Amino acid sequence: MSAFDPMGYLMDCESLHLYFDGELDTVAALAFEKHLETCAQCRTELAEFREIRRHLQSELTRMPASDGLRQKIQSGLADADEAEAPIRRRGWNWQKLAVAAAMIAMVSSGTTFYLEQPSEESLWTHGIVNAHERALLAGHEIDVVSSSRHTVKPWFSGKTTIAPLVADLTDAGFPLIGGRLDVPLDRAMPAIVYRAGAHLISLYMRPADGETAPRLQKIDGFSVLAWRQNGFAFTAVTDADATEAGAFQKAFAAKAATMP
Amino acid sequence: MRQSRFHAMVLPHLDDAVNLAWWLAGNRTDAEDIVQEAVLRAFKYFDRFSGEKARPWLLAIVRNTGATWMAKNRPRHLTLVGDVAEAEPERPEETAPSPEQQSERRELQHEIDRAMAALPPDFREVILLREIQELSYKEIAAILDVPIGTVMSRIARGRKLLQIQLKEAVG
Repeated sequence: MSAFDPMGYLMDCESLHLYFDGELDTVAALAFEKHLETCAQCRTELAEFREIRRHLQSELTRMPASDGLRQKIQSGLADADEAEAPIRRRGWNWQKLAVAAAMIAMVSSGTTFYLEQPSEESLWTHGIVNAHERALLAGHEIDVVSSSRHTVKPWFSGKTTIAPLVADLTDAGFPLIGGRLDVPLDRAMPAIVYRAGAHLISLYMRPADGETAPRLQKIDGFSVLAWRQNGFAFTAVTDADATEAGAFQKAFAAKAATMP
Repeated sequence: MRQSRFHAMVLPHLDDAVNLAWWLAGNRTDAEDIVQEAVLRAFKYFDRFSGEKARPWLLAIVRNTGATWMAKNRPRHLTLVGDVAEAEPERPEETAPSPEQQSERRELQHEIDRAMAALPPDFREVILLREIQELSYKEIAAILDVPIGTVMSRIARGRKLLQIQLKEAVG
């Protein structure tokens, strides 16, 4: 079975997996969709493979690292590092380079800053993306590790005046991982961390009035979604793609709407 | 400095590393031994790691450490030793589904686990890397050190095998 499309692409059942795995470029994908229209067998297969993928992603047992392994690795690394410390040293002084790069970045961003007069909103957004990046770079994604919102939420009391809204989104495919305290601009803010497949999503929140529809931005390769509801301005930052971020926002907003 | 950079890049992917090793080795003890060895190896070669994505890089080392380890210690046949239960995710009480729904879901989880375990290792690893780790064909080809065409045919075959297994299971 094959279909010949006007753009000269010959697409047949052979390309089903490539299409399903997003390995075709746009033109080829469109040509394959033409083939799908005429091939009932491919449509059935595609539906079944989707079902299998969905089941694998939501139901297949996942074995996480135990605390014991984490500790063993930490101490193993400490030993390895000590043993090597005297030998490695030549080369760049990364710390100094990093400081220089940061200064250049500050100067240049200072210029745009002045020219563009960023709104308070975009100041927050960039502050939050930076905080998220800092946390990733420092390997410090999570202060309190727990999949229970009854553990995560109380952890913040006394550390910030903001009582975070923590939702259970396990059923929607975004299990809770934990929480972290960040200081994006001038005050501490809770970030609640959820998992989306292989990615992490940090959801920041600060008190704000009103309700706004979600706004998507791509900043430094991160998907960033900002919206308001339930007396908070929410900002979700993730390295997952925009579709996944959007699905998370939808699930969270729906859940939050049912919460006080 | 080097160590903290390593921590930041690699340790966030430890769960993924253990999960892959567990699905390749079949039990937690072996999986954690493999990952521990792989992480130390990764640390040793960290200077050669230049900017590509950390997760596929770590998974490649885990997979290859695992393959060497399996060749030495085990027949290439997977038997999942009863630690599936301890990996069961915590489910909050307030949204607890009915006992019937729970047992249906457990049954489904069981079927899925069984179908995955029944896949021959070559197919199991590509399915894990593609469907669970969501890596591209190119990334998978680099990890397994095989041509992209091989990745493509193994994924297609692996899916077919799963499809057949699951159809039989459901009846």
